[in-house]
Order: sequence, then structure tokens, then C-alpha cells
Amino acid sequence: MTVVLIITIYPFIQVIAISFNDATDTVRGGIHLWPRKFTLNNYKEIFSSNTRIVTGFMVSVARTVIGTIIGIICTAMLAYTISRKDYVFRKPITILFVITMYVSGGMIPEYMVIKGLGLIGHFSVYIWPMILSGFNIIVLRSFIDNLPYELQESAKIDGANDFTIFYKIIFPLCLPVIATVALFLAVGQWNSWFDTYLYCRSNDALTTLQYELMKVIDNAAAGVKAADVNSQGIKQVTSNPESIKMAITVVTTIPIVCVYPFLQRYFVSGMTIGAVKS
Amino acid sequence: MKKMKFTAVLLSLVCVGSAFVGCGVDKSATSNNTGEAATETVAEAAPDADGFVGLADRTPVTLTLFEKDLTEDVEFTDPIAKKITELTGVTLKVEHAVGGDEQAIPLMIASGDYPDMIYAKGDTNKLIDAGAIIPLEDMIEEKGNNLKNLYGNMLQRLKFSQEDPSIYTVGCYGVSTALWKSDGVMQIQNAVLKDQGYPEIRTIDQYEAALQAYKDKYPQIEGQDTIGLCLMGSDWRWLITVGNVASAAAGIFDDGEWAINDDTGEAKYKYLDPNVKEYMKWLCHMNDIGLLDPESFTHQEDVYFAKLASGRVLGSATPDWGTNNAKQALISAGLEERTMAALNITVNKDIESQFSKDPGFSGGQGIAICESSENKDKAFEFLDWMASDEAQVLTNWGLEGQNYTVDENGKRVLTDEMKKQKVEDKDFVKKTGIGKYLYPFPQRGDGAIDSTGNYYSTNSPEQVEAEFTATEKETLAKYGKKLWVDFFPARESLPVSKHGQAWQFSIPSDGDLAIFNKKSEDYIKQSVTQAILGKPEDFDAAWDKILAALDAMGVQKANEQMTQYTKDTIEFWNN
Amino acid sequence: MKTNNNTDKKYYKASFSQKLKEQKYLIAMSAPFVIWVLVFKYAPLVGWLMAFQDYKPAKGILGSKWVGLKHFITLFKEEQFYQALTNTLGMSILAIIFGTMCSITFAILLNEMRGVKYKRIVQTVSYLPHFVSWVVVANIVGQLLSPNGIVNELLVNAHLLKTPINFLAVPNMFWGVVTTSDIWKETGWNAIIYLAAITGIDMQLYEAAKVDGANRWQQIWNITLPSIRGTIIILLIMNIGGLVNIGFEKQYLLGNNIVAEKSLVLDKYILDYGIGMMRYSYGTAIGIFKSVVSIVLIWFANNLAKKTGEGQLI
Repeated sequence: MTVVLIITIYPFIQVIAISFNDATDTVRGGIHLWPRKFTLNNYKEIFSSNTRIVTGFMVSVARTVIGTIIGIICTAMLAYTISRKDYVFRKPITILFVITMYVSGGMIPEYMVIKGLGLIGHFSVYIWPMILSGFNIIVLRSFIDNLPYELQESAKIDGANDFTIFYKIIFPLCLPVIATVALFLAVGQWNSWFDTYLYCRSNDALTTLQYELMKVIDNAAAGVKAADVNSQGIKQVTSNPESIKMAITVVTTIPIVCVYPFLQRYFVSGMTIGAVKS
Repeated sequence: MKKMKFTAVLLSLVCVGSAFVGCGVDKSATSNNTGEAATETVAEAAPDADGFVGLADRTPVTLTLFEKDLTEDVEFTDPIAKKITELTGVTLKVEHAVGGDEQAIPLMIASGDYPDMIYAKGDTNKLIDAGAIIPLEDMIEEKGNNLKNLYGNMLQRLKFSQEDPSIYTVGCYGVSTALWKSDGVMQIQNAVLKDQGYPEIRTIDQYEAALQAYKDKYPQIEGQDTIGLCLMGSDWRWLITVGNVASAAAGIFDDGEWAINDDTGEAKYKYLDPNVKEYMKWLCHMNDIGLLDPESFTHQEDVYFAKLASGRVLGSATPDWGTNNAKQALISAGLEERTMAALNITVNKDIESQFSKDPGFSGGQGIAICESSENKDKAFEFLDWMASDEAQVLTNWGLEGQNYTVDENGKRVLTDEMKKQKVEDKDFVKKTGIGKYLYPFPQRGDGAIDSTGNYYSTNSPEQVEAEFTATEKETLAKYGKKLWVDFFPARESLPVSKHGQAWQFSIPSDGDLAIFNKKSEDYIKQSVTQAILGKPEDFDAAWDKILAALDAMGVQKANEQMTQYTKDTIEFWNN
Repeated sequence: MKTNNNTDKKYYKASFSQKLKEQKYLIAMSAPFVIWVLVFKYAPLVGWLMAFQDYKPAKGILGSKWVGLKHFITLFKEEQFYQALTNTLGMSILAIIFGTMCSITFAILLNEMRGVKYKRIVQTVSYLPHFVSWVVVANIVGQLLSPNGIVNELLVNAHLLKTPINFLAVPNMFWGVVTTSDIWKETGWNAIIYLAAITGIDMQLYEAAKVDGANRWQQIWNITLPSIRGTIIILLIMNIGGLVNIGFEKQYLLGNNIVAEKSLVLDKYILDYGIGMMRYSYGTAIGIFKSVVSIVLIWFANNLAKKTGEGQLI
């Protein structure tokens, strides 16, 4: 396990080491575990180069928190209904959502739908399109499937309706898998930047951290298109040093990595269903 | 229980409700525009304290401009931007694609959300098809004196095509194209030249001999194995460090993947040229004798840079924009002699390099004004003003007194403070705005001289010379040259290209020719690389196979199509 | 399954309208999401019409010329397409087999670890690489596998190799390189889901097994694995459906011009020859092809799972 530990953490350590290394020196390569010329300049550079980073951070946190909470509630509710073997629309709804995992209308039609709904330039464009995913629903449903059905039966006999059963019995029992889904949703929300670019770029108050930093990285990766090989545009590009890119990786990753330990307790401690039953 | 039920219904309603009604206002569709409502204040066209005339109508207005190949935000807040706003009333809001988005312009067309002005490069024809941008020739005729002045008889080259001879765009590249820097040619370490007493290196064989001799003498540099020739051929940069270098060594003018005879208009896929084959065969030989870095075709870009920055690479071929970081790292590590010297090297002595051939003004596809804009006239006046002499000097040099001064001979010079910042501060352009608003706006270009006898641009041979390192100066002095370009035939000795440069032709991106280009490019990158890494005795057979495969892909038809494009361009431009 | 039989029978007797009435809560709880999916996921599929047109953005979907199956025919005649398809399937299948195995093994090992603190550290660390971009990982892999990298050094010193190999320049090794790198980067992340499933197992089962004298290996084999079998199968089915959705980032970054014939995948082909060239119709046609393949695969896998009995998707 310790070997696995070292192997898996190595890339991350290298990223951190490079992010603290002098940008010009980094070009010479050979930095593995520790910076050669220590500096904080790369981080200073990121925060000074872009004035919208602080608002961006707030927007990112807001969309992650709100998006995850709404996402969990919606996913769990729907997953419960299609876990019920007796539900008349179980099969059509399941199929409807499974298919969405493998089809896409493409960017332009999706944009037109969002535009038609009047969501462009509005915060809710970060939330609604992302609340559900076929994958999360199925994962949650398969977990509910594994729970003993007697729990629901006995509740029903006690006169509970389907919503109460979901809210009082199923939801609490699903916490480990809900923590998983929450993690997927949170990471998805946190990491997405393309929707900002598409829908909210002209509203400075709504741009996200990832989007702002993406622009910095982009500046470095500029012109990675063969078609433009010869154009003047490329010649003007001043490529952004490796170290800055790594510092950006660190800045964007640390907050979301911090979420995990909070969710972890749901995985580590096992549960006794019998205890819930009584 | 009731409460639960209520919550469920409420939640559902919220979900559905907001999905359908939406609460946002579509902010992206309408661009800020206050021009219509405000009363027009017509100012006298009299110069201000600094001698600027500006526009008569300076009603404040925000114009949006989408730039296709821009990759960083342009904050319109520097001193030059402020001056532009003061003189024209225009505040620019520049937008750009992020994350290599290829669909930005098609999306605009599909949704109808256009900016006021757009620099669309190769997508310009799509905007024309969609009727999204307006023809400008009437406005140029009526009130485009500055543009007429700047372009002169090159206005013809701004026209879109023979079938549609309207001018839709202005700007992009400079009209004048002086060449003072050599970039992207074969290079060799200054230390190698020095060690061997600055020998004549004119052919690939001489180049090879120099590398070999130095490598034998110093098998290690800075504690690591010496690398002879190192290229960046693992991804698309293959086209630059392998493909373009090969055709340059074969004496082919830079027309992208094509070899074009400027006199006849005959176009040929450049890998059909026997001298390109010779060069590739030489690379194969170099690999065989261990002078070519075997990782040239597998390493990542930053590994490549790290190698260059370590000082152990003797020869390479990458444009400045790729290697400046490595060069900086070498200098700051005290290894200045390990930086590269750019030489004129061809396959054999009889080949004349076309590197310095003047491509002429290629027209290009510059900034267009969108039909949907509510400030079309203002946008045009703004673009026209940007072409004026005062704007050209302002955008190139900045403000007199602040950024530059005029010396006793009437020569414009940057202030010492600016000169220093230009070298030391990498945010120089961002902070001062100097040079920030040249491309893709209309510009005179390097080498153009204004009425005061000064260059419009800050570039000049003297300035290029002044920026050389001590090592560079030494090498140049030993060869008796002033500039690196002096190694190449003088620009005046080669005729100006009649067709511009082929990679600027507007070829429909979804047509047969474009498909051939893409397919053959993918194939060439792979098969030529494999041939180079194979045994020298197998090279000829491998090359024959490549030619046969190109034939099967329809290279003959592509040649014909390309020839047609060239001939059309020559005829249209020189009519 | 067994426990449901009674209820199933009961509901069979009731008429459809009666059922609707009884299940009004379930309907209320799912109806908004059905509307959601129709709006956000199915409405954009109007874009699929592009595949049957010569789509020009200027003319829109309503105004472009209809060309029937032209783009599909072009596609099926294209040699590169088959190359891309083979590579995609090859790498996907390797990823499913080895990726799934590694993730499950890792999740179980983690679960068996004693010492809560250490366990937490291992778990957090193991999922970190997921957040490191492929650009960085590809660089590290490149360094490790280069002729003078660590891997060659080890193999030469162990006399397994006579001279170093440039692994990245051998087309036939490319799939392996991609799969290994992928496992390295994603195992910790992918294990989370199995870990959650393991956590859901009733502890009483283990206690009963311990009373019966089962050792830890037997507990894993007889309790843990069977208990998460449903989850494993469901994820497998979904992954099989996603065989052709492989992305292209890792192949692009790890690949180079020498191994191009083994690294070209469908998504890269779409990008290069569809959208990248403004051939929207062509790109959409490939997209539809992929969707159809996915749905056929998932249907097939689901039926297979149904026959074997445990855990089905639909």
C-alpha cells in the first residue's frame, strides 16, 4: 500500500514542486520532488494578473454548493422512484435517462435550448443543466436496490406515503452513496468552465474561478492548432511558463480536494442496517 | 405528512418553473450602446494640446470586438487605450474564444448573437454567406480617407474574391513587410562555431560535419550527453521543425505545405519535391549515425525546451516564439554561448534560399463590421481613424514625452525608461499598451516610413542590432554580418511574391482540398517520420511508398486545385 | 428480488388507473425530471438532423440542403474511420477489464486496512492524481519511459533488456502505455464508488461469518464480493455502453507521429475531420453512429446480465 501511495502521489508532488520553482529555471527541467529555486512569484502572478479571481472563487463556491445540494435531492428523489419495482413508469423513465448518457445533440443545439429558456447570462445556467446525470441516478438506484425491501413494506403498513418513505428511510440509508454522488456533482461543478465561457462570459459578475484560470492556461497553450502554424497570431504569443500552469493546477485543485475528507467518514465507517430498522 | 407533500410539489414546481420561465435577462445579445440616445456633440476638428485631431464625434460608446485567435483578455485600460477613448469616444470590449473553441463563430451565426466588430480569420467567408458582415467599399469611398491612404493600391488585395469583389475586412497584417530578423531556420550553437573558428556552413553536409566534430570533441556538456540535432517532431510542431525546415532547405518559399512557382502559378505539394526528399534522407542518415536525437519524435514540448535550455543541444530549428524561454534560461544560467545562431543552410550550394523573399501584403482577413451592430458607422469611423497617421504613431510608439521623445535630428526614440522596461518587464505591452493595438487592426507594418522620415513601427535594423547579446554580436562580427538576415540573399534581390502566401488563401474549410490537406498532413507526419527512423538503405523504397500513397489520396487533383487558387489570386490582385 | 414477488402480484391485480392513483407520489416525484430530461437532453437532439444535410451555419437547420445518408456513406468508406474504431474499442476494452479489476481490488484492500488514520491518508492520496491534468501525467510517463528513463534503466540492469527501448516509439505498445497510465491516474478515483457500495454491506453478515470461523479472505470472497456484485455489474454495463466514448486527451498527449496509427481514436477523428474542419454534418453523423453503437451495446449487455440473473440496468 505504501508503494501505491508513493507512486500515486508523485505527480502531485512534482506539480507542487514546480509551482514553487522559479519560472525561468523550470524550463531547464529536472525538478521532481523539491523546488530548485524557491519562489512565491508564480502564485503572486496568478493573483495579480487577473482581478476577477476573487469574485470567480465566490461564484465557483456558490455553484458548487448550490448545485451539489439541489443535485443530490433531485438525483435521490428520481432514483428512488425508479428503484421501485412496482412503479408503472419505472422502465420508460429508466430508459429515458440511460440513453442520455450516450447521446448528445452537440454544442450549437444545446446553446439554442439554453438561449430559448432565457438562461443566458444568469447564475441558474450553472445549476439546472447539471442537476441530473444518468450515471449518478443509476448508481444511486442500484444502491437502493440492494437495501432490503422489507423496510419500505413495514413503513407502508404504518401508513407512510411514498415521499415519507423516501425522506425518512431511504435517504438516510443511502448516505454513503449519496456522499459519492455529492462528490461527483461537486467535482463536476467545480471543474466546469466551458459553460461559463458559453453562457456567462459577458457578465463579469458571474465568471467562475476555473474559467478565469483557464484563460491564463489558454494563453500558454495558445495556437496548438496546426492550421494556424504559419499565422502571425502565433508569433505574438508569449508562452506562459510551466511553473505558472502548475501553480494554477494547485490553486484550482486544493479547494476541491479539501471536500473529500469531509465526505470520507461516510465511506470509512461501515453501517448496520439492523440498527436503522429498529 | 401534509408538509412533506407540499415540499415535494413545491420543489417540483421550482424545478420546472425556473427551467421554463428562466429568470435571467439575455445580457449577451445586446451590446452596450448609448450612441443613439445621446445628443451629438460635434467638436471642431482642431488638434488638441498633444497635436491629436481625433474624431469629430466623440460621443462615448462601447464597441465589442471578437478576435478569433486571441488567447488572453485585453483590458482596455492602459494609457494608450485611454487616449484612444479620449480621441474617438470608443471604448473597446474585446472578446475571444477560450480553450481552443473552434465553434465560436458558427455558434454566433446559429444564434445571431454578434459583436459589433469581428476578426474571424478563416471563418470570414461563413460570415459573408450568412450576411452577417457588411461590405465596406462604399464607406471607404465616402469617408475612408485614412484607410485609402494606408492601403493605397493594395486596396485591391483587400477584396474578397473575383466572384465577390467586395471589401469586407480591413486590417490584420502590415502593408509593409520589412525583414530584419531570421526566425524558424536551421540553427547551430554559437559555441560550436567559435570552437571551429567560424567555418563556412552553407549546406547540410557542412552543418553535419560541424556537429559531428564538436560532438566527438565534447561528448558531454554540463555533465550530460551531447545531443547533435534536436527537433520537436512528436505533434503538430513537426510541421514547423521538420516540414517547414525541409522545404526551406530545399529552397521553397513558405507557402505552407505547398511549393508554388510564383511566375507560372504552378502549385505542387511540397513533399513531391526531390530536394525535400534529399533533406529527409539526410535526417535519416543523421539518425543512423546518432547525430539526431532519437527522442525528437516522441518527447513532449517541455522536455524539448528543457534539452535546449540545458545547453547540450548543438543544433535545432524552432521559431523564436518557441525557444525564447529556453534562450532566457540559458542566459540567466550564464550559458550565453550555448544560444543558437541562425544560418542559411540548404540541401546543396546551388539552391537559393527563399527565406528572405518578400511575401508582399497578403490582404488577409481582418476586422469586419457586423450587420446587426447598432453602431456600424461609428465602428467604421473608428477603424478608419486607427489607420490614420496619428493613430499609427500612437499605437506603435505611445505618447510623446511619456513613452518616446523626438531627438534633435527629428528621430523618434523610446525613452530610456521604456527601453529598459521593454527588455525587463514581460508585461510591458500589457501595461503601456505599446504595440497592443496593432494586430489585427490596419497597420503600416515594419519598414514603412512616415512624413517625418521615421519608421511607423518601433522596429528598425538599429533596434534589432541593439538587442543582440554579446555572443551574437561576436558571431556576427566574425562572419562580417550586421544582422542574422544578412546570411540570406538580400530581400531586394528576390522579386516580391505575386500571390502572397498560400496559407492565406481562403480555401473552404469543408471542401475536398481542405480534406486532402488534413489527410495528407496526418499521413506525412507519420510516414516520413517512420522513414527517417528506418535504415538509410530502406529510405528510397519508403519514399516511393509515400509518393504512391499521396497519389492515391489524389495529390494530382489537389495540385490542380491549388494551382487554380494561385492563378486566380495572381490575376485578381494584379489586374 | 425474492422479497418483491408478493408486492408485484398485488399490483398486477390492480388496474392501471388504480395504480396511477396509488402511485401519485411517485409520479409527482419523477414527473418534473422527465420534463427536465426532455428539455435539456432530448430537445437538443434536433441537431441530429444536421447529419442528413449539408449543414451551413448561415442557413440553419431549416434552410440547409438535405442529402440523405451521404455523410454516413462517406464515413463507412473511410479507412481512417475503421482504424479509429479499432483503436477506440481496443483501448476501451483494456480499460474496462484492467481498470475495473484494479479499482475493485483497491477498494477491497482499502476496506480491509486497519488503522483509520492511515486508511484515510491512503484514500485521499490515491484519488489526488485524478485532479492532475493529463498534460502533466503524460509528461511524467514520457520521462519514465524514455530511453534513459527509470523503466529502461531497471530493465537493463535486471538483464531483461540488452539495450534501452524507446517505448513511446513502438506502435504496438501504445495501447498498453495508455491503459497503464490510465490505471495509475484513475484507480483511486474509480474505487470510490465500490468503496461506497462496500460500506453499504450489513455488518451483521461479517459478524455472523466470523462466528462461523471464516478468515478474512473467505469473508471477502463470500460476503464482500457477492454483496457488491450488483454494483459491479451495473457499472460494467454502463461502461460497455460507453465503449466508444473514450475521449481523446490521453491518447493525444501520450501519442506522437510514430504511433499515430495506433493512437487515433474516434473522438479525435471527429474533432479533426468533423468539427475542426467545420464539417458539422459529418461530425454529427459520426456522433449518431457512436450513439447507436452505445445503445446496441448496452441493450446487449443488459440482456446478458438479465440472463445471468443479478443486477440489471433496465
